[in-house]
Amino acid sequence: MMDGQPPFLEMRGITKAFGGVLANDHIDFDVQPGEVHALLGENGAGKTTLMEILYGLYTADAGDIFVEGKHVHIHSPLDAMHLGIGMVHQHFMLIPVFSVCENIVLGMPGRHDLRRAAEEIRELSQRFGLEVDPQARTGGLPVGMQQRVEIVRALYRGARLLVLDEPTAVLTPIESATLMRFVRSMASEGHSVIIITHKLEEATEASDRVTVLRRGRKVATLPTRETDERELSRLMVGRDLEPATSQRHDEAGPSCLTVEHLSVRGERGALSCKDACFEVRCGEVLGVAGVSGNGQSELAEAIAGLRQPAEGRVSLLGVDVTGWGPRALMHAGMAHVPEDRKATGCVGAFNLVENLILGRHRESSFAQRGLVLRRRAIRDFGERTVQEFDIRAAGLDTAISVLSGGNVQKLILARELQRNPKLLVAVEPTRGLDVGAIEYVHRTILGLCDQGVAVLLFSSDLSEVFALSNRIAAMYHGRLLGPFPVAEVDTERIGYMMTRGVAA
Amino acid sequence: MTMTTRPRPLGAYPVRIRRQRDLIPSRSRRLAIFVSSVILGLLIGALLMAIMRVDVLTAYRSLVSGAFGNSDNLVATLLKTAPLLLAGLGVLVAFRAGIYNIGNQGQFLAGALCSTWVALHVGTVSGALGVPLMVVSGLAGGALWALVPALLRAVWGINEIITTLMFNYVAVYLIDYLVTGPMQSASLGVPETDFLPSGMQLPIIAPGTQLHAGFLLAIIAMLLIYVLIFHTSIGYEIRAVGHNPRAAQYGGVSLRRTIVGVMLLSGALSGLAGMGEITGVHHQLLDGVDGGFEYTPIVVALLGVLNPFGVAVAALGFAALSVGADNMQTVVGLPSSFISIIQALIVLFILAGEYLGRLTIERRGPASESREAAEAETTQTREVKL
Repeated sequence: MMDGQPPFLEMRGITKAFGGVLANDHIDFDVQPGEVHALLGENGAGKTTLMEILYGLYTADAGDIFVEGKHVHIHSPLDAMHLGIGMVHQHFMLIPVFSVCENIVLGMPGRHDLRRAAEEIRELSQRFGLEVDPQARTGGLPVGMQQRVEIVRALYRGARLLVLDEPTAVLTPIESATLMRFVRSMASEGHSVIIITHKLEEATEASDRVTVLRRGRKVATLPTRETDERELSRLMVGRDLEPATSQRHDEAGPSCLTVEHLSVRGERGALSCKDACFEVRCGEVLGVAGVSGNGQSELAEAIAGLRQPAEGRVSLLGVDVTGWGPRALMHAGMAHVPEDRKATGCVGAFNLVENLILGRHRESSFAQRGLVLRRRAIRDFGERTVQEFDIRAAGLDTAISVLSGGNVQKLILARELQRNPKLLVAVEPTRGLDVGAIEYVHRTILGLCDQGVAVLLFSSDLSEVFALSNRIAAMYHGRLLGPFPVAEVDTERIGYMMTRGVAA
Repeated sequence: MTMTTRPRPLGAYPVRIRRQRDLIPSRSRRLAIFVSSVILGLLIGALLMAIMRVDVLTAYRSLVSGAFGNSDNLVATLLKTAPLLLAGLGVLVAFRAGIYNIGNQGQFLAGALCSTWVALHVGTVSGALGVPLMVVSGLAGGALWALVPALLRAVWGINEIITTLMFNYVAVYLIDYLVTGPMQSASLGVPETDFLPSGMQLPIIAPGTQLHAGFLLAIIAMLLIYVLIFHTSIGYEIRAVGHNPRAAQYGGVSLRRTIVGVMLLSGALSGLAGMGEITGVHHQLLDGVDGGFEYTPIVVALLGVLNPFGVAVAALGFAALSVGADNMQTVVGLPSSFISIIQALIVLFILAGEYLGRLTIERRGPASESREAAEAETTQTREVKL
């Protein structure tokens, strides 16, 4: 396996348990100098745990770590940094009011000459093609640029091995491509990169080898050249996946949701969504594509009753529901899978079963005269739902915070669908989910359509929009373009509209 | 499971303490924190007593016997427990919804004022109706006092901590004015109102003592609040709003209605406490009728981890300490305010325990040695830079 030279990093028999669950079960993992190594697995497979052990955020219950052949004990990120290991987390840890340069030197020991540091940062970022301006204020930078700042910070601290946790989750396609170019240039300089990911394309695009984890165990390490996405997905999920695709029944059903000249204000009071007009018919999926931050969230919230529209009209099954609250809309037949499933979709401190009745807690089947909770009935309902929707949890009393993203999304879907809605508003329903869960969500949405439910899907994932929708609209700077029947557009045209705002 | 495969001499590396972010203190750990905090508070209290040349054992014995020693003392403790429990429940209800109503003192006084006013102006109503009328007026007074801060918060989002605090001052000085002016008794000639008609006084529940029905009211309130919070859809909504208002709203809960509702209920419970002190203990309105416990109900509610039964235990504990302290003063000559030091120490230890409960102790490995080397390196480069 090794050609004389020791690997830069070797982890042997790493084991870590959380409350009886083995997150890492005797994992062996190594990275060569100059290698890009993808660490692939579903959410909850133990990728991030393994890397957080490497970065000193957790201590392994058993196992050894060797850096350049030397046995090391890593107890904190500082230890990791001194060994030349840097990590860029999914959620950036930058102080918005500080400049890029200040953010990078922050926390390093000793006093700093900021001008010198700025020069060094500029040189370093040019060397790797990152183009970071050290004087810029971090708060105003786009997400892709903030990620580069994090990368430069790790490099500035002498990282020779860079761990990137789900690096493209927040990036536009163009930013992703730039990032992958950077990863290759890192490797060509003899540095090593580990990419944690659950996306197959990301795993195969820039890597030399791929290690697949499943349920805390290592399934395989393969040279990227000798494998393909099909094999990797089978290794990752443990079975073959069939991509869900729309049946595309084109016979238009009756109108379900009508939106007329809807304008919505955002957090800062400016119009985030301007004059949106469209209609969703029963039994169809209308997909709204857009880079996040272009007004989709506000539009979705206004339709779902979480935000008062500034102007315009929303009607559901012929009833004017403009300005109605969530409870009234629920009764009118709307279901809503919100964008931020943990912050909006459930109450983190509540357990699984308490979250399953959120919004239905006053229904007479769960509360006598709408007041006294029927514990038994609620538990029975919980048990049935957990079975039916295959929510994987230790029990009904499990805290939501320990569930994986996929299971939380299943819980939310289960809750929303058990009401037999007429319209489903789903916002980024698969963001951050692994392939198995994505498949599940897609099948569920398409199954609803077959039953005649109208679905309004907001997504920044173009392939998802195309896989599910009958008609597609693009959103750019608060304006809605379209919708167009799916046969009349392709990803290129919609991609052009969502980044430039004009129909191509 | 072994820590590492390579044998390593014990104690070769210094221990190191770190805060573990994934560690939530368990129930038993929390109980241990609570008990050890009380013990530590009493121990340091003992140390202070020793410095003041007071016999520690006698002092603590007098504290305990003063609180529970005979039926009179026990009754005095229970009498003090009732208002603390009621007001503590009021704080609990609001805090459970994430609404920081710290105006329990003002709402307590408003309940006291309202029941006094009603009692003095309605005169004697037929026997059985007097007490219910008093209960309602106490509840109403407290709720009314919370109404304005509630609306300010619910409609315009104005911080309830500030407004309820300000309303405390308004209540204190309003009563100060009323008992020296418009409501002052013509016959007594001191800043107090007339005595309440006997039909408006709470009945004694333990013959031969002063234990009045206010204590029963507190126990009933405790049970009702328990059922409300944990067994009704309203309590479900209150907890949902407290934990995650956004998700609650998404689940069809009206934030405004919940905020106004819990504020009114919170105020009403404090008002009921105030009514109990007027109709059960003083039988008239006078300055300082709140017994000087100001923010104690907040401490009681938090020490009781916002659980109605926990609040009852905390209220009993605080009442016992302050009643026992009077006896300690007479026996060993320690000022009764000494007990506030012990109370404060206990609270501080519990807060510290919340932090310490997340710490774990580990041995330190060689990676930190390379760190020290690297730190030395940075020092060098720093010198070059400067």
